Amino acid sequence: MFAVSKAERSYLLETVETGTRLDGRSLYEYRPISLQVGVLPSASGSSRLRLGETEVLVGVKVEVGETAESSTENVHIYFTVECSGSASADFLGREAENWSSELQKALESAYSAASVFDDERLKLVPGKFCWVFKVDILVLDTGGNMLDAIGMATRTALSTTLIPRVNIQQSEGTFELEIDDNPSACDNLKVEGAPIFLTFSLIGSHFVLDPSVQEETCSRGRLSVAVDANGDICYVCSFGLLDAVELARLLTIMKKTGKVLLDRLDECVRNGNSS
Amino acid sequence: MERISQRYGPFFEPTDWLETKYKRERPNNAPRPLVLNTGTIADAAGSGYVELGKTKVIVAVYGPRPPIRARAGVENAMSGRITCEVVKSSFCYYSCESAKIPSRGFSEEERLLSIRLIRVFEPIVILDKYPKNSIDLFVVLLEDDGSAMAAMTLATSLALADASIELLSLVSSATVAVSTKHEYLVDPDRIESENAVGLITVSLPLHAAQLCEIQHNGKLSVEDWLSTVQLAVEVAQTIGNSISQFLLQESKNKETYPLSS
Repeated sequence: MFAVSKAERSYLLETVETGTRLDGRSLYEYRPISLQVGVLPSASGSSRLRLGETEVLVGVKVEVGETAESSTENVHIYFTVECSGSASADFLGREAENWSSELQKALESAYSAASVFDDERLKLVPGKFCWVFKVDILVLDTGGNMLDAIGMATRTALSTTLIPRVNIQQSEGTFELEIDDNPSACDNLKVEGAPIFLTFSLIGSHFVLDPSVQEETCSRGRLSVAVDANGDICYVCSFGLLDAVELARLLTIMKKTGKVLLDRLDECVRNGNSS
Repeated sequence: MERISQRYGPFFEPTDWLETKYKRERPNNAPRPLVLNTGTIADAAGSGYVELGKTKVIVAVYGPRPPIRARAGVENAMSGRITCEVVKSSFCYYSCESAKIPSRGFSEEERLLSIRLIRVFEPIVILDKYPKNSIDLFVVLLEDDGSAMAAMTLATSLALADASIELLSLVSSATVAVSTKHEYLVDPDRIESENAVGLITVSLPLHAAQLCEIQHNGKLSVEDWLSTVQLAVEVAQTIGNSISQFLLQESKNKETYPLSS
């Protein structure tokens, strides 16, 4: 478990009061992000993201699965978050389970709200077959703000995911799916609608974006919001005593920062693919 | 026959209910009738019971007492801690959902609800007054017909007050759903919550312009979201007022009782 001494705490609080933070960032600034895609050869799409000290690894596996007759969705998406025991002393036994089910819930909720996979090309046989995406997330190291790192890594992994082309043959009411085994006959998954998370910590009377682990330990509350490219809100979770009047201001900051982050992520992926 | 199907819900997944059969029987801005009670569990330090329409919750508070399951460092902690166990009774599930009932232990949903409840009350209970102690909450969701988290928060608030545990303020909570027709539905029942575009639960302390918890699922624009939160806050404040009225009444009854006997 991470702990800070009384002296450290009061130093941190005083620094935030002046409008800067211990690592020299301003209040609404992210730590440097480094991103790698295609790190897992066996997965259909993968990414490894480092946000300050936090490091996550995401792999996406694509399968064809059967679906209930009433369902109209093209894609079933499942998230599994595993918090590696070596990352933090918090991830022991029960605690790790709590963390991972919370993160999983946030991702599930945000992705189901955002209706990311409305792409015609993803249509198989409605009510019979659909794509199954299994997103496996491994937290390798924790330096605070896991949710944001996971959100960005998941989005990038999905955006580099390759979907094989499928020929659907119908004969006497039964469907036969033939998956093209030519490795170049793949489509890139479109994820413009996928949300990312932004997290504020409440320290003293100030909100800081992208809290480090020290800041999380000293914080009185947290506000996590999932935003998509249109600036719509797909998921919110907050706890701790927040001032009700601050919400509108925070959401405007989030909308703006979210847009910048999403653009940067897309740009990184594009450049990485072309070079 | 009619009675059984009403009691245990549909035997099949209710998919197109909202369009065909379902109709809200009260105005959009009216919460369901609220039933409050305290002291329902004789053994506990304090207990609360809340009904929001068909949603029924009972909460028992034990403590402050030395922690039963010792964890490293807790025995010497300078401030107390809250533990919480939420159990959904089997009446919460439709017949078609029997697979979701955990055979042993807690389901994922129950675990998440416990975490949320602890987070709501951690800043509210003055934990510095209970060093080396733990306050244990046991929550049973008897029946779930939507807005369960709000009902649980209200019941816990009642139970903590009944146990005379020092709080910064009473906590009130409300849920608002935004329907597919873009109506704001206050205190939605289960069908309304499942078909909602956005579902927001807000918990707030009564005596400060602050919020303890916001949970939002679904997709809304920023403006819609803010106005929904605003509405939920107003509803929670009215519900909160009736809670404090109720507790005042209760404490008056308690005062007069020993004198007359």
